[in-house]
Amino acid sequence: MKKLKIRNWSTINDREVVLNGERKLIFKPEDHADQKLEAAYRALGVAYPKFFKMDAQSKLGWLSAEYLAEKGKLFEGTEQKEVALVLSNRKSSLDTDEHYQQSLTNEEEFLPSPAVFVYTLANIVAGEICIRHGIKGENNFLISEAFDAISLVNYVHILFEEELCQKCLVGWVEAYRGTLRSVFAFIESTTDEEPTMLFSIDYLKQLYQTSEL
Amino acid sequence: MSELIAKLKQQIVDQLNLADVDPATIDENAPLFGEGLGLDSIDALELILLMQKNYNIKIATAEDGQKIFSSVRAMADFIEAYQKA
Repeated sequence: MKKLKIRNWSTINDREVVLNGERKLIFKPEDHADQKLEAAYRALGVAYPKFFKMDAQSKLGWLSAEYLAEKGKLFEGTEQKEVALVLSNRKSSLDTDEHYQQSLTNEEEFLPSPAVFVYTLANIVAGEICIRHGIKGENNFLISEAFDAISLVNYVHILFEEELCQKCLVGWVEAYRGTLRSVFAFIESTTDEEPTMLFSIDYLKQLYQTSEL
Repeated sequence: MSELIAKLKQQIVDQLNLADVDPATIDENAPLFGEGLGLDSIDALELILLMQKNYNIKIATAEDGQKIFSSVRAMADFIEAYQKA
């Protein structure tokens, strides 16, 4: 079996943005989720107007990938179709589903927004990340009751073993009712005997735990 | 007319979440799609919603939409004609 390592990882929660263990941004506790997401975007110093059209979960996933990507360097030297994306969460797109549902039940002003509707699918966040970084490889969004490191690690190993990817972005992304939590890791194969961050079930669980408030 | 154009620019920025766009910098004669603001198909649907919500105008056909949404000025012309009719 190929040996895989975590090259970069990022976490975002209601308190902070962390990249490879280094705190990149601390949110103002009084800010609501939208303000925190915008602060994280502004701190990157990039211009990507589409960001403001996304729902909270897509913004969160987009930011998590953006912090990892080292201004696109992460994907250099790899064919777009050789990068895979495997994301997961518990609540799918429920945050936006509820928001859209509310607009459907407004009898006085029945004008549901198409721009909200397009985000009523969990894997839209994967699409936003793929568009941004030109990723054209395998992608999947898994819904599970809780963070499932076993399935994620096994699935990513299969992708590498079957030579369906050379690199893989894997993680958890969930924005629900103003609460943010994401854990992203960028995986590649390694020939190191003892890589610093071996992509293992234990290590992935550990990363997820670091994102806990 | 200039008042309506300024109001429309602000409404477009709000409806389409163009957070970093100053409404005053939008050229009312520039195309809304393809170049200019670079809007996409979902934005087109949001513009239809904007016309319905704020001006009670329902866009009947795609051909009408193409004409009405060719620029901010075209939108303003249509609104003004509709209100006079």
